[in-house]
Amino acid sequence: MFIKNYFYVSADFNINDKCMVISETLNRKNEYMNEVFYDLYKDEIESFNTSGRTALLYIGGAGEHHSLSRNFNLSPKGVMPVKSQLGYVASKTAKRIGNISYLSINSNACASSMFALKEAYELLQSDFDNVIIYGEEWVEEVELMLFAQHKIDLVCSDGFFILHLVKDPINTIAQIDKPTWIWNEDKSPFEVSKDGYIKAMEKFKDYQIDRIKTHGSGTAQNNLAENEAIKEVFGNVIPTTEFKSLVGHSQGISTGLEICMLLDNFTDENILVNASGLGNFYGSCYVRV
Amino acid sequence: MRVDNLEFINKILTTENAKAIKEEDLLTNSELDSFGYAILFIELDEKFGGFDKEYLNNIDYKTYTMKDLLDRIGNVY
Repeated sequence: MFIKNYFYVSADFNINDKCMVISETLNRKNEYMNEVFYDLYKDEIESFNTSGRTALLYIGGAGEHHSLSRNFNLSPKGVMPVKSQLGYVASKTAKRIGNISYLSINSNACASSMFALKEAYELLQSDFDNVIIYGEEWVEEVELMLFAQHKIDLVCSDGFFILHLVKDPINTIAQIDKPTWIWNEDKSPFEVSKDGYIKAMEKFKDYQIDRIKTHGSGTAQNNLAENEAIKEVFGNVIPTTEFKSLVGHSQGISTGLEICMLLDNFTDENILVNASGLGNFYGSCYVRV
Repeated sequence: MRVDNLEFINKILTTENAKAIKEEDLLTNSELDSFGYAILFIELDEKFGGFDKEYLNNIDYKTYTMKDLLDRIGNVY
């Protein structure tokens, strides 16, 4: 499949050493995430209207993004129960983009957008002409608490991206091939393993690879597991790149956001893109920029 | 007041990605979806009251116009 168009916004403001946000959202965190991003990027979002049979894969992140129930002392009231439904948010997003005949909701935590790429690949191999992947994520107190509780040392961040994928290569920017998605039986859902990364990457062992975009969550345990897996599958000869030290870990949307960043930063390269996610999910795909 | 209420309702409709309509139009002409109806009637009930389950269950959408909606608000308010 091919990338025809993309748009993204990454975190640009450090709150502290655990949290980066998109500065435009800074004073709007008590609103609905989807409404805030639509308000900020309306023109860009509506420019992704397509012709031909089109699917929308919506990556919505944690339920709290769509709810004013963040404060559990408050009773649900008014329209909040409706607006807290991912189905409502995704349906609204589909209408804004228009011409959507298939809608899928994806909230698989840290590797959601890699799963979305796999689903897009399968849809484009069937009878779809276009797939729009729409991912949005922002920092919530409950996420910071989750990472603190489990002593996962990473920088949680906001992020937003849209990828327009097509099967026809005419007028396209880059190619994405063979997105892989596996679940590995690791000892803990909060830890990644060398074994999981190897299983996701091994089908690319004989590919021409100029660079690996690592998942690179920044935690010592993740970095060690991923680097050891790369060394075992490919040896030590392939340069690696990571973005989370620059823009934080935007969780479910990080793979999509970082593919957009690859498009802006590299040309004429074959890049293996890695992802892993809470719950022992792993994925890789091959990107020609 | 009626003009303000019409504007208020049309603001909800357009926010829910439906079309603004006039008094004589059927409410269904707005192309509001099911989630949108939920939002509309919750918002109207919160602001004006009178949109309880009994009233909503007796709406005939084949004939229900914006005028009917405004009349309901007018009668309750």
